[in-house]
Amino acid sequence: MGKIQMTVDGNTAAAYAAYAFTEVAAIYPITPSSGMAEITDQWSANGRKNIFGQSVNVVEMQSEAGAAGAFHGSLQAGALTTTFTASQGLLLMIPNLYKCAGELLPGVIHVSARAIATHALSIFGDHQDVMAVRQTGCAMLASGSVQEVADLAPVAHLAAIKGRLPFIHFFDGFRTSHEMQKIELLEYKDYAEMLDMDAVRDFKDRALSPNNPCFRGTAQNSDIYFQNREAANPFYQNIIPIVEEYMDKISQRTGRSYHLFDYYGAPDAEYIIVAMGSVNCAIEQTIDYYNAKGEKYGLVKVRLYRPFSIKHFLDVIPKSVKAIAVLDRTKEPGSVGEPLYVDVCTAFKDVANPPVIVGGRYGLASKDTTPSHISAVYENLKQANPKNSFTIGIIDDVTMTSLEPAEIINAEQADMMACQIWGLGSDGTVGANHQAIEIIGNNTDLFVQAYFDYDSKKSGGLTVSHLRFSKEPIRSTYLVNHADYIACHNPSYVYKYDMLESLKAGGIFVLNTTWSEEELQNQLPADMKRKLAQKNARFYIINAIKIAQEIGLGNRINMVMQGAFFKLINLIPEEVYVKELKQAINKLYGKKGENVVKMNYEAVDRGIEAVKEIKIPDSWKNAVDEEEEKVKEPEFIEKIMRPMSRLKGGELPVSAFKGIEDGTFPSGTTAYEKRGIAVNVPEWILERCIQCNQCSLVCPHAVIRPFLITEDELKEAPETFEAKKATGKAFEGLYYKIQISPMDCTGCGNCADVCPAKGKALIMKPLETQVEKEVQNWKFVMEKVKFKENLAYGQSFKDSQFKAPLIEFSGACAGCGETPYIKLVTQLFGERMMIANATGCSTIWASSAPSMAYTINREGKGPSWANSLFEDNAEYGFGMYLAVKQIRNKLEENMKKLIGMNIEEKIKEAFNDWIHYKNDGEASKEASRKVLEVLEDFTHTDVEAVNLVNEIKQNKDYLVKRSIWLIGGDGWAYDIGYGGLDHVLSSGEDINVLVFDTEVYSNTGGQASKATPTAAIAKFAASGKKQGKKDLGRMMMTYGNVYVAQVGINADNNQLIKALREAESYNGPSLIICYSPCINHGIKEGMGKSMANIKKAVECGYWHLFRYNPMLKKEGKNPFILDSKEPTGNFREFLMGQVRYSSLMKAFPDQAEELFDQAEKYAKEKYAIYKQMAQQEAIEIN
Amino acid sequence: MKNKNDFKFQGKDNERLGKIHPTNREGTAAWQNFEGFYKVDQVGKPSEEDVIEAKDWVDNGSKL
Repeated sequence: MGKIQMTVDGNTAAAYAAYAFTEVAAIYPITPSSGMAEITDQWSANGRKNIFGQSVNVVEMQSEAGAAGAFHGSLQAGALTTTFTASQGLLLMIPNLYKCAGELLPGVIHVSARAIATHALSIFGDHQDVMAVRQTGCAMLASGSVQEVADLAPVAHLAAIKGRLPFIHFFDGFRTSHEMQKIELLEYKDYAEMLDMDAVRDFKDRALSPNNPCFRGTAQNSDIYFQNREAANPFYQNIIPIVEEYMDKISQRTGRSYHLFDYYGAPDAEYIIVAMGSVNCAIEQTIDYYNAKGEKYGLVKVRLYRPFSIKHFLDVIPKSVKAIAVLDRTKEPGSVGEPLYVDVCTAFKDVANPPVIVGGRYGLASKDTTPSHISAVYENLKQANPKNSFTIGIIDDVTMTSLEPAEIINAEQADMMACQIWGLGSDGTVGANHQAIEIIGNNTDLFVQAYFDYDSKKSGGLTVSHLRFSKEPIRSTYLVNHADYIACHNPSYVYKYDMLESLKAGGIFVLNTTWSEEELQNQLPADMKRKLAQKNARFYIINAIKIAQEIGLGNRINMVMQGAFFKLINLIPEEVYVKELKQAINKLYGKKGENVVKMNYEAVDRGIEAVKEIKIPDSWKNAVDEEEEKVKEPEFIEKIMRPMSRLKGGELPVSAFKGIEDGTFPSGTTAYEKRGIAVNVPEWILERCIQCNQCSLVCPHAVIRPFLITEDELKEAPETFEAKKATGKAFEGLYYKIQISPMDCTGCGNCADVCPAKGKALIMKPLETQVEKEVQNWKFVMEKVKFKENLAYGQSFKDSQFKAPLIEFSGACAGCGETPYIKLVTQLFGERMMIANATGCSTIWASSAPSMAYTINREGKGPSWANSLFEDNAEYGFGMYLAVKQIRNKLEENMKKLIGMNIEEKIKEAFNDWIHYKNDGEASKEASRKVLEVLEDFTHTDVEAVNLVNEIKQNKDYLVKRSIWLIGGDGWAYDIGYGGLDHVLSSGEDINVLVFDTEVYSNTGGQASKATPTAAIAKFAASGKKQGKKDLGRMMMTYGNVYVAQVGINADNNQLIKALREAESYNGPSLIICYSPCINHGIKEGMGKSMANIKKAVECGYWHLFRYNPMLKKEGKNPFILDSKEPTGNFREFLMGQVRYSSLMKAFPDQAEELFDQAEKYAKEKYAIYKQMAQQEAIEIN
Repeated sequence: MKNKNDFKFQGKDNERLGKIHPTNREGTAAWQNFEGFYKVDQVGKPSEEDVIEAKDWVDNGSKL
């Protein structure tokens, strides 16, 4: 029997065990479970063998429903099959879970349990998903820590095979799935020794086979269905001793004891908690803390949740127990109690003199649950009438369910060292902390824990690493809240986050800053000074940015900060950690050359040497902020958005959401952020500008815009505000200005890159040189410059840019290829728009609370926006369309009735006009205005007429034709949502679809979709995608009545705007597919050239521009127009300009050439087909 | 629901509107580690290594 020690997260531990027992894994990615499938795929690609001597066959399906179908089919055909999922994904599997349980198939589903989307989506962990499948007949096994995952995951597989029941093995999403711990794993030979090979043989003998044909999944009626279902009861009875048997075997091999229910705490406990999952670790800490003070607390840890063995449960409960609190990590509104609570109550049904039993909820969407919160649960049990259906971890001042902690305690072991490190996504901090954990774990006897807390932004965004080290096992399953060491790697955070809140008295705070000791006095915010002084902190500064630049590492500060970290935490001797860090550097950077390795060595050395302690002056204890004029912000911004942005959202009480219980959030909140992301921003060179507005068109974040200004408006402008005479007859007498918002700009540089002016009218300059004047200039245009309504704007993309974009300052990555398209759509149709948005990057950059990027125009109108799920977006948006159509039809009916009555001619005229222009978006605006005008003072003696008019007035919101857009990425449109999309487009109804084709699942980490082209490397296509790219456009053209366009911004802006206008005005379904570069592509020229990349894609024939306009058929013309010219660019060069292709040369050189050739062949073939289609004569059918 | 008209914002009455201190500067992000600048417009050019690091973060690091 062997044990392997590893520092891994829960997902890796689960995948490790699963791999051993799995022949086929049918999967679909979903946060936070994707890591399990990805690492399985990676191991398979690297040739790792399962215990049967074979690599696992990992197949990515189109959705979780598809994965469940394949899971089911694979089991029926005799392969041991596994899947990995969470949340909505698990729910999509429900029908197949019933099937697998009913057919007694030994599949295993590993679930990193996650919240279900209700009033909002959350990627974070709780048990809502697993509780939603508890009735399916699958056995359910819960793990509460990374070590438990490693120990119990094999139990799930072993018991499934022997017991012939599918198992759901679950653990907390993020808290366990993503937490890193030093753990022990058994070797595969141990698993093989425990496996019942006879049971495996029996399973395979039962498999569907033409050699022994049979039927499975018949149709049964009321005569036998019930009896056949009940016949499986013995399997549920027998699984219990089977699980016990394997838990014993694991216990013997590991030395860690597991039972169906495990008790912890006082053997004569009076007050106990029953719970599942990671909270058990925090409860154990709380018990140790209070029992040492004389309390008698205990805990029952539920491991086998289904089948729920009442006998085994009651056996572990001490007879002394007076009261029990059951903690559920789910919410079941309308029920008498949450599921585990109901199970426990039922368990005591036949017990004489049962204890008092109450239930409560905790931890939804990874809400932290600390020993202080747990203490409140025990205190509640001591009351004469303990509160039932309570909550912990929140303040419920609406229905008063919450229990407040009596005291804030620190129940962690005395020797614990806890660290918080505040960094930025991709700055190397997280990677360095992974490394630190491994170094300390491998070189000491210490237990180690790492947990990474991120916001949702993909490429930037805050990261807070929570690290712990201790001689004893670490059971702190909550964020670090008593920190010995806090470091801030991003100097700008001092203005926003209360980083010192968790610092212990006497703790260490390290700030990466360019400020000198003297400058700190004036620059450091007063709040920070006070906390440093009052906590008697040891305060250090280091200019890691300068050191990195001096060494030649540019902005890579991670190794500098690592040096400082190891020096200050003082856990291992300097010679040891220096040696380990340098070994890690060799491993990480060795392939990049000796020079890079040497630079990183130097970074470590200088980090150790340069970190400098600052003597905190006494005066800081009473430091006071400079007086500033207070701006009275809207209530929502002040009371909800600002606290959330400062990471104080956890303190908001339930009442803060009164009035928005349904999850509604307001538009336009991103304007309040002003994050100052950019290092360099564009400076406008007035004299060179040709007023083409291309910069504004391509800007992903709407931070650079043209303004037309009157003479009078200009008089009020700040001194630094420059403008020039506007060109164009329509703009005579006006001035023109390109204005940038430097505090909203990400600094990508696309605007400057696309500028066609000689010598460039936009040059990137350091933010510091621009910010003072341009912030005031931006403020001026926002407050004082009005949109000039009555000008004769043309239809060109240039003129479109004078209208305010109704999506701004989103959370998208710098250079994002998705946002410029939707920004233009909002400029064209925004005041009439309804958006149904599929889950993906486009929901995350648009609506990660509290940052809502869609906004309103001066009239208060703008896109309504909603996300339902991933797979149902087309149907969801179609539902919106149906509702609007129905209500507008009623308006028309009312008007027609009124026309037939005795009413004024002018009213009849207005109604006839409205009816005529009902489906014309622009014309219906004026027609609707006229209707409201003529009805304003309407009176009539006929009550029916009055009622009809009142109905029209009540529904006046629907008078203007709405522009309904279903938007999302290729993961939705090509894969999981394809069925719905196809159905909606087949309907013939007037609906618009916009697809951001990034050719990969961008938001969940780069998994292949059916839009991924041949030769591209993606997850689940690690050796380059073999299959070709689906031609969604051509497929939808076969309906004949769908408007289809493929577009590329900056490649042909005239074609783009034509396509958008034609699509929207077409009275039928429209589909526009947009080529969207993404950071995932690894564009070697940088994201500052993402727009140029689109142009290159079209020029070399990689991406084609076309329009299929069914209206042309009515004119006797060929509906298909190929807008791309004959490709002239170099296809191979285009591919090699992106890491997603070029890395194939290094990774799989044998296959690369053939795949690149195939990719080019497919692209040429496609172009040839389009050319042929464009050259066809129009077909006439008589 | 709250009154719809109280719930529409245009960035006015905004205490950050006049501020010049960044709160979330991304100066240390991999995609902003420029090894050089394109002539004339001074748009930053990352090294291939930085492009790979930036890609690695969105594919693996952010673990969403």
